[in-house]
Formats: sequence, structure tokens, C-alpha cells
Amino acid sequence: MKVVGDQLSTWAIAQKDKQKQDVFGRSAFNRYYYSAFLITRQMLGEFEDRWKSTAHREIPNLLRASVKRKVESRLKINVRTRIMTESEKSRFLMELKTSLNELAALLSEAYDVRIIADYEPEMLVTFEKKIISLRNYKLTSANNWPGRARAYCKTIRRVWKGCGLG
Amino acid sequence: MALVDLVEIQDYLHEGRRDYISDVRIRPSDETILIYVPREKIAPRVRSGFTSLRQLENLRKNLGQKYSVNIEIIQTASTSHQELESGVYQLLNRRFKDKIVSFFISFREESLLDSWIEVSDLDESLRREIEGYLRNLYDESSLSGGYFTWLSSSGELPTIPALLRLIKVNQPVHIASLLTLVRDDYPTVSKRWLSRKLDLLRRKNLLVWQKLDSYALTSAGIAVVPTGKSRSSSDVYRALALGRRKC
Repeated sequence: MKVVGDQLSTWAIAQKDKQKQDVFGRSAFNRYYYSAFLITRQMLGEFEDRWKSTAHREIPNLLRASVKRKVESRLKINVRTRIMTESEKSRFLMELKTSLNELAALLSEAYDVRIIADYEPEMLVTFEKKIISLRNYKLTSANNWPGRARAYCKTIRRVWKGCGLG
Repeated sequence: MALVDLVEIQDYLHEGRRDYISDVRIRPSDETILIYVPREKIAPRVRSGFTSLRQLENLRKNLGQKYSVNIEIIQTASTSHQELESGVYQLLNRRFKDKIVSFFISFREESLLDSWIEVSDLDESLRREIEGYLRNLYDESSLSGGYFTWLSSSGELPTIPALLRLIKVNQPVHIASLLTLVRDDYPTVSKRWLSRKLDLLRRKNLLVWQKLDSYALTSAGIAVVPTGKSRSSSDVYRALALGRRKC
């Protein structure tokens, strides 16, 4: 999915025609969002079947609430049953909270611009200093959404596994 | 709905002197009110001009109830954050000859940042070298380095809960087969490390050593491994593993 975004974004930058630049540019945002979304959904499905069908805009809340709660309660049990130390627990918890929040924040930003790209055509992309933007979002930062999502998912998976959940 | 609510909500937010909010708008496609908060305004604890994740979550819930609308809070990444990230990424690649695949930072507090680093051909000495270099770089820039997450980490070892789960799924399991299974996820685990861990678990009464040199969990051991109804449950995995064994 990311390669499609990259290609669209190259085309958008090269376009002289403003209208074509707009459609290629906004489609690139859309593809970058989907890439990050699918990476996250894959992980959620591994964790819990029903999480896989969470509505797009609910995913950030699911990450911050349900996923966090599940790991947190497991960590508590692990400490109580003495198969984990208090310091292991706090370290895992800190890593978990940071990555969950990062991923949730990324997905809500990405979803916001994806909706603008798809449903608010009156808001046009702008092109300044060779950078395509839509609202305040730059295509140059959108292109690392998939990499970012993958990085955060990796940390979240490691904590999930580490506490014995998967 | 909508515009009326938006104006009301804007007034409400304004009265509360929530100057950490940079923008409020309505998303027409699903009539959700979006509240934008720059990432650098979010601190671990609320103080003047700053908010916290907890406060934002409460705000989202309260407003949603008060006005019966969907509220979404969007934490916006700042340009300076992105510039710092790409600057450090470039420095790293200059210093470590293009071995850095990706690099991301996250501010946990105003000047405390966590880093995610992906490196090709990472080994323990390179890991230490990069971490030392980064910590130094952060220090000199009046920043402090928090957690480092190594995305290509190969030296990681399994935790006890992870080990117990693996044994539950495959028990009774011979140490040699267990070693192969463990190495799927943790390639650097040695036989010596694993036997020491198993011995520790046995002394904790979570594990028994059976005839033919195989290991199985005790009831205490089974009790600490999470179960569930989901496909990812350790019970389901165990049933599948037993099925494979019979084939």
C-alpha cells in the first residue's frame, strides 16, 4: 500500500496541472492512511478476533482503553503470582503506554486527513517548497505513517507477548 | 445539528481557558467535532498552558455526553518535532554508514524523549555504540534520552510469562524441542540459558521435570498462563499443537 502512496505522491509533485496535482496528492494521503490502518488492524486481529472489525475512528480509543486495560491487568496478575518483578512491570507499562498513545495519535491524525482527502473535495491540496499539504498535513510526514505504525505495533506486540498474552 | 453545536462547544472550550487547544472544527461526513491539540502541549501532568492525556480523555467524554455528539481529540505533530526527528536520523546515518533503516522519536515530557530505532545487521556492540552516541547527542542538546526501542533487536530474551505460555501449549516438551520453539521468536537464546530458567521455574514449583527428560507445567504453572475464548487463547493454541503432534 505504501508503494502506491509513494508513486501517487511522486506523480502529484511532478504535475503542472493544479487539478491533477490535487487528486493525486489526496489519493496519496488516503493510501498512506490505509497502509498504517491495515498494519494496526492485523495486530489487533492477532490479539482478539473481535477487535479486527473495529470501526476506523474507534481504533484510537480501543488502543488507549481496551488494549491497555487488558495488558495492565495481566501485568498485575503476573506480579501478584510472582512470575514478574515490579520493575519489569513498570518498564513494560511505560513502553506500552507510549507506543499505544503514539499509534492512536498517528491514526487519528491520519484518519482526519484521509476523510478530508476523500469527502471534503472543497479543501484543496497546496504545493509549497516542493511539499504537498492538505490542511496542515504534509505528504512528507504522511509517507512515514506506515513505518511508524509498524514500529509502534512491534513494541506493543512485544509487551503483549512478554506478559504471556500471546 | 451541527453548526449550533460547534459554536456552543467553541464557547464552552473558550470559557474554560483551554489555551492548549489550537483548533476546533466539525467533520461533515460523520458530524464529529474535532478538537486539535498540539503534541507539545501535552504533559504528564496538567499545568498552566499544558494538558494531559487523562484530562483530554475526560474532556472528550464529558463533551460527548453534554452535547450528545461524537468528539475526537487529535494530537497534532509539530513541525519542530518532525525536523528534529529527520535531523537526528540523518546524523545517525552519516555516523553509522546508512545502517539506520528508520528512526522515530516521541516526547514523553517537554525534554524527555523516547526513541524507536531500526538498524540493519544490529549486534550488541553496535547497539551500545548507537545508544551511547544518541544519549550524548541528546545531552548536548539539553534533551534527555528515555527508552530506546530496538526494532531489529535480536538479543532479546523471553520473559517468564512468555516461556510458561510456550510450555503450556507444547507440553510435555523436551528441552531440545522447546529450544527450537523459543528460538523462533528469540534467536539468541542458548541451551544453557534455557535450562537455567527451567530449573528456576521448577524450584518455584511452576514446572515439573518428567521422565524422558521432558517438562510440563504444574497446576500452579497452568494457573498463571492466561486463557480466553479468543482464537489467540493459549487453550486454543494447545489444542492445535496437540492436533499437529498426532499427524
